[in-house]
Amino acid sequence: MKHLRLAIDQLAPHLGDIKANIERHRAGIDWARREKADLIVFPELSLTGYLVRGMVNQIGLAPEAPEIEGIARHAGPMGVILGFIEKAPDGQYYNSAAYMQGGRLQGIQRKLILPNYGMFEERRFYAAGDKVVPIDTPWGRMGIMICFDALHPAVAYLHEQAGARILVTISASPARAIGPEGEMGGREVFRIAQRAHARLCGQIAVFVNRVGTEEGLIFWGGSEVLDPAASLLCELPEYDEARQVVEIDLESIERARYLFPHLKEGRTDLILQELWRTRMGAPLHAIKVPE
Amino acid sequence: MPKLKDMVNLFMDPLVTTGVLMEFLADQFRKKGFDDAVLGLSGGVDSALGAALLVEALGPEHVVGLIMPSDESSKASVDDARAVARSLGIKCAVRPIGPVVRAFFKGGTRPDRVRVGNVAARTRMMCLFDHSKAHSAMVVGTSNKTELLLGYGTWYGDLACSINPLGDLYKTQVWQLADFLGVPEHVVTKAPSADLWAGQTDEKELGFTYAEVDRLLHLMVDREFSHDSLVEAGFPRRFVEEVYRRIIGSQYKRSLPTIPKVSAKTIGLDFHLSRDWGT
Repeated sequence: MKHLRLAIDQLAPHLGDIKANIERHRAGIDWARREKADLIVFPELSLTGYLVRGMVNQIGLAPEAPEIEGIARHAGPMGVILGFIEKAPDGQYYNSAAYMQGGRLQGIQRKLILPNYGMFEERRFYAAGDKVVPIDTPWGRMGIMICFDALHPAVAYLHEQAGARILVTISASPARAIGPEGEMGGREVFRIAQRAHARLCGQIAVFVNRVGTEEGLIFWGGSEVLDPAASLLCELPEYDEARQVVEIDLESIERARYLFPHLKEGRTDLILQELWRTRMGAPLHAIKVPE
Repeated sequence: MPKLKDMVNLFMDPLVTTGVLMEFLADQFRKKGFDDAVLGLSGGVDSALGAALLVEALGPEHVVGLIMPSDESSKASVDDARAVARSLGIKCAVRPIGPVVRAFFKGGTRPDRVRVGNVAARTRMMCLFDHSKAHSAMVVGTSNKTELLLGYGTWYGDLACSINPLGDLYKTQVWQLADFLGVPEHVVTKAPSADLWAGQTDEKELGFTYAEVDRLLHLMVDREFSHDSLVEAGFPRRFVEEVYRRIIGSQYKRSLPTIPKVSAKTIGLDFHLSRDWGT
């Protein structure tokens, strides 16, 4: 397929109210269907809200749960990416993204890197995923990152190495540290990261960030889609619920990669060798410059 | 080279900041099921900014200001509070608390002015929460970050509230935002005072200016500079240590009562439930 009609929906989940959130997802899916979208992307933990804390076990869902199945069935042939708390058979809970299509759940990407500093305390409540899960969609291979994952170049690189052409980041990023020119901590770092992922990994970069507030956290939205040249294809407003459909030219990926063919020179062998060598305790042979 | 302390810029884009705070307020009122807000109006800039933000978020018809002068309050403060209410188009009511405070201390030992100030602050708290119950209005606090960090407030008095939109703004940032939102100029520029006795000003009582201490607090708390770096940045060591001592000494005012752990899940320790759960 040459084109992907992508819908992004930056909703404000109700914290702990799965029923209300399912209704909201269904409304988004109905809208996307009217817009003839192929795929709709919702933010991180879109089914549960973010500050679930000690209630993860009350609201976590097994992948085969009727709630998950119900949304997939409702979407029918349309693809859906949403965020939920995954109750795993090993008794652990994961901050996960579900990929649904064809009326059923197709796969799950667990959040790999859990933020655990300052206002974040995810490692207290969740286990971390242990692998990148490429998803072969009708529009090409896709990788999903969950919020903090996207601030680690290595995770985007692993997805690139796994063959992702479309890199989707779902997020629940709160506003912080507002500066004199309206700059804002959370936004600046994601803006930079998304542009780097798109340009340096030669991918379509999709970023869907939630809005709404929980306790004192105010989530800033500002979802965006970038082409592999890091040009903006679509941008949603900040702080308000919003959704939009964007038509993505999938051939732009090959074109961008041919015109800027840096990826073919990637030295995976070197990276593997150096990481392995230094992690095994081999000397770095750093050059000492006299003071 | 200019000292780091003179390079600190606490200015926050007022449009973005107002937008974020309005979003917070509108959401909290919806989630907690309140249409109306009540707050104490002292005639000072903090409560004026709190009222202005509530008007932006809820509309003037949903905001009530209680003006609660004690025997020690100046008449000018009451006039300023009325002027704030008038300029915002909100309802206000004057409820003098002198008789309650006098009745409370009647027949007892002669209280010092700190005790009188505390009882006045806690009387105002009772008026606000009683209004809350009687009129289904949420009590909105207006203590700023400088006061909260320094412990410059009465525990369960003016610090008591359901939500506080100003709690992450330093005093100098309150001034900037109040100016942006059109709070009467005189209220923004006058010397801040808790109005506990005639001629009292915060800066005289604290022994330093808000401009100075806000820059120090920003570097100490938000950016986590060490004491040695702060002295190097141009702050006198005694000032740094005094402010640090105040922060440490007032942590109890910013916390729930400490509960000893004997069970599996203890409130305040490992009972992790968000206030917004299920809203």
